[in-house]
Amino acid sequence: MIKYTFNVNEEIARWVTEVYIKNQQKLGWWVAFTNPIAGPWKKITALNGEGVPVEIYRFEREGERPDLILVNDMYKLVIIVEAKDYYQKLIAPDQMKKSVRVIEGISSILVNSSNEHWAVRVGYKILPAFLWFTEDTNSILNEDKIVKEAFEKCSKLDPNELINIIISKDASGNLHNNFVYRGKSNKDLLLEN
Amino acid sequence: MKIFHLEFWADSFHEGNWACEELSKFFTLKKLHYEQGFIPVFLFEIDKEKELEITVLGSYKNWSPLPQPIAELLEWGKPDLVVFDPAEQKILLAVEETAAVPTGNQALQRCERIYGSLRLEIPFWYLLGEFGVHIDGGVRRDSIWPTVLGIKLSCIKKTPCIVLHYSDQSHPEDYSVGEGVHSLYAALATKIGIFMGTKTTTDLQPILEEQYGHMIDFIKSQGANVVNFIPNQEVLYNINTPKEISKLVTSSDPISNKSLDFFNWGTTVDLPPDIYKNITPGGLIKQDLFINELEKIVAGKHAYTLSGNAGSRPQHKESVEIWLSEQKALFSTNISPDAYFSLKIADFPKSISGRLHVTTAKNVFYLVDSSAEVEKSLKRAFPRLKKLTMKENLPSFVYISNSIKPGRIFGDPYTGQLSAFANIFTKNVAGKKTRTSIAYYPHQVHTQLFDNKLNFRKNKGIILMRELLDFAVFQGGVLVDMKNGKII
Repeated sequence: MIKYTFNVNEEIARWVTEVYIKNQQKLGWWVAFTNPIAGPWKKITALNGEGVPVEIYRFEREGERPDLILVNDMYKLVIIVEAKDYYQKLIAPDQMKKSVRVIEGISSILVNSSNEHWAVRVGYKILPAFLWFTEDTNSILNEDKIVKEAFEKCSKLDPNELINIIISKDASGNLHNNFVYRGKSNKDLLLEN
Repeated sequence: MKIFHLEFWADSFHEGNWACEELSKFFTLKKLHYEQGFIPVFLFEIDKEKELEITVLGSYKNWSPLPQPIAELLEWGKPDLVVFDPAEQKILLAVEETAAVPTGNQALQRCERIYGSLRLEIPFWYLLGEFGVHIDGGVRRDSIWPTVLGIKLSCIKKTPCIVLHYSDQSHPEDYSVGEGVHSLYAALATKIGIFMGTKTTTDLQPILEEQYGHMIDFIKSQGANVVNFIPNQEVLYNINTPKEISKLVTSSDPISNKSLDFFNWGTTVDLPPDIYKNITPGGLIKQDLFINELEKIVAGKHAYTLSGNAGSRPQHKESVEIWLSEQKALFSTNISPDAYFSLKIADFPKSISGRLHVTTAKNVFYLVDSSAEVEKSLKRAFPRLKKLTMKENLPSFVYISNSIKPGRIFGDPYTGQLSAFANIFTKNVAGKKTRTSIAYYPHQVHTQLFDNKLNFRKNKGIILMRELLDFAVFQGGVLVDMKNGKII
């Protein structure tokens, strides 16, 4: 069989996090929205009483969308994620302004949603997040700091509530999530409200 | 235990993953694991002796080496899913799916991908919503052209080319409504079964028959909203037609497809009397010498159009000025000595909003009864073409693109329009040429086709134009023979 090599881009980085969420269901996280290029995913969904995802919001064709929305009903948390392949792209001034605008816009949609399936989640705490890939595992905390500073310049939200999801590659070429919250990096997405 | 291996290449991991999840309705999913922390590998149990392992590779161009057959297909646009046999280095099929109903030009954009796949004889399934919400909030229904193209290319290439729909008027853009999704994966599972030797083409035929039946029903139901008339209706209403097409595309034997002579928009004498009676020129928004001549042929009832609702999208004056200046700079008299660039800003009429109309004819193409008529029109409009002779005197298809921005004619939506209309109107279902194929680019300069040595440049648009056109006419009446590169 042919062994393919890969370059990590935004799509792959985001997918690594989605695979983690799917495989760690015991932690209670689920994906309410993901932003692949096409397909039946261009809507925000919420789990109904039977645990089945139902549409609660549909984006306009040209509407700005985040890259990922994660929800945890145990912790009563929502994470709105903006992703790029490398952090340098995220901290570009125009990009950071756009990311903040998207996060704030989606927050407003969720907070004001009158959809019956979202109603129980209207009061959930919403956390902003960025996701990217790093070549150097040792620079995770440094990159986190740089992104946090860029975010602070563009947003009125508390930078201490920012979660950064940094994808790294180990010596075997396996990709991993590193969830950085309040200056600490964790292999698992363990946050409490 | 024999394990078969396939790769599902996709634009997004979701597409490949979704396909595997849908396949688990047809095969028993035994195991799913993620290589390197993210590459989905699905293991299906087929029977006691066979298993199927599918590896999903999302985001095509991030992988190396990208298999050559996939790279070749991607040049025509990225399908959402490509099912690939790595051992044989062969694409089994490609799938395109869209979440929203394409409207206007968007409906034709995907036709380039359809043609791109079929020219390589790769079976193609296109799944889209039959009903969708337009940007204005209204509900729109899909255009018939991708479906007509699908049937026509199926017959020409003897390869399945299927358009499937989901949703209905009350549930626009809803994947769960309608048969489209299930039907797609029933076909996909059967194609994979054929690959593994557990199914035969006989098993695929009834699925394709149903799918072609759906396509024909859709054209019968939606056709009148899109075109003045559809020819050979008796074939569309023949209950055996879907079966005939499904046999044609699954058999390796040469089958005469005489009974499938349809979608042939003939000359004016072939038109139904009421359609012939109502042939009238549509008029122009922006004046053009050659198109005025074509309109005269329509007035004489030796040419017709199928609809006259090409909307004008006026452009900012500043943009038109820049594009004109860029086109003028590209114009070279070295290779067309007596031609000159004649366009000026005053040629473009002002719209109510103050922008400039660039649209000439109100229709995208003309169907002219003979190429001799087109030749005469070209000579009247451009006297410099007095020595022009179009060798074959066939009926003609004249396609018009009013684009001004340099290079635009080599991309969307123009390549999609050309892929659809040139295949539909210049060949019969046996692939035999029925019309001379001519494109007219009144605002574009011919030099864009060539490199410094006057060889055709190689981009997707030019490859497509060379495959689908006999002649292309550019600003100043410069005519290029698209088969041999001769410039007149």
